[in-house]
Amino acid sequence: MKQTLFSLLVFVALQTNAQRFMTKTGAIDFGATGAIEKIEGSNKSVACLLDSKSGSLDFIIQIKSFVFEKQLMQEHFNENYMESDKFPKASFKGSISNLAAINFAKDGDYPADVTGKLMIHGVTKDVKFSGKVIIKGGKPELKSAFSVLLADYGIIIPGAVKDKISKDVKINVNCTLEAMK
Amino acid sequence: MGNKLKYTLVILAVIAIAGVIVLKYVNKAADDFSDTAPKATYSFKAIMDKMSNDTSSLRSLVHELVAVKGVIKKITKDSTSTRVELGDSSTASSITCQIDDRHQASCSFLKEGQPVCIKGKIAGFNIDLDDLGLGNTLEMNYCSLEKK
Repeated sequence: MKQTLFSLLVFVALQTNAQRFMTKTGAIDFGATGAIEKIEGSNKSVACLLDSKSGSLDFIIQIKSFVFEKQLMQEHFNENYMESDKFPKASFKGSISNLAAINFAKDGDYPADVTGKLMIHGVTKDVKFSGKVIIKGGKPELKSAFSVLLADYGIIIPGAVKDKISKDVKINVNCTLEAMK
Repeated sequence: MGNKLKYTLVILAVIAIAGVIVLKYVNKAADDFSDTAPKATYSFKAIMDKMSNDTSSLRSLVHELVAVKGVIKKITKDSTSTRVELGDSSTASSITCQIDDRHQASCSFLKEGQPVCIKGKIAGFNIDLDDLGLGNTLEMNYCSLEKK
């Protein structure tokens, strides 16, 4: 009897945990290429947590984890635009609004609509994005591509370089999550 | 050759040299730290303990080059990059290391469970204050294997 109860508790615990998926090595790339210069950065240490039961979705991004090909670009990104000493993190806290359309138990590509609060440069805005949840071998992969306006987040482009940097930044998200143990 | 022509040539030469210097400065590749000595070497436990007990000391290490000895918990690879996560199964806390693109090849043999010493710049840290279950995380970038 005790053994059966213990097995049942273990089963319930495993089921509960399987509802939460996470990674700390998700990828977010951005491009702000203007008329003259290619400006791209990538961060492959993005933390992401998804609750497949409630649909809640969290992203935590360290700004200094973005890497660039060019030294000067990295310095300008951190010091002049993102002010990463003052605002070291960006985050997203929201949920998948069409959760019923996603079967986490079955492999496939599922369109996903996400709403929530995006915080960049200390400014928080309500946002809506579209993307995909790809289920493969029980692991969800989150993919999305969207744009944000720098001005919406209080990021000012000096007049001298306004042609070099695009006013809207294209962001690509790609995170493969694993069930939390 | 007249004086006017000489001056013109000198000014043009100075402009050309200044242009090359500016161009080199603007296009300078991100630093490669693989041959730079780290400021300090820590064990995984020692540096993660700082996050629990001494965040001001850890904060002073942000943007510094350090080496960390630990066990590989997870390796994430895609077509362009490798990420190594140091930690163990007893804790959700871990250190994420973005391997410098220039040193992907030297990290190709790494396996999960392997003890390793990785050097990189500390980009920041996340303390799991909201109790999301992610544990504490230290993030390092421009990483390479510490040879010594």
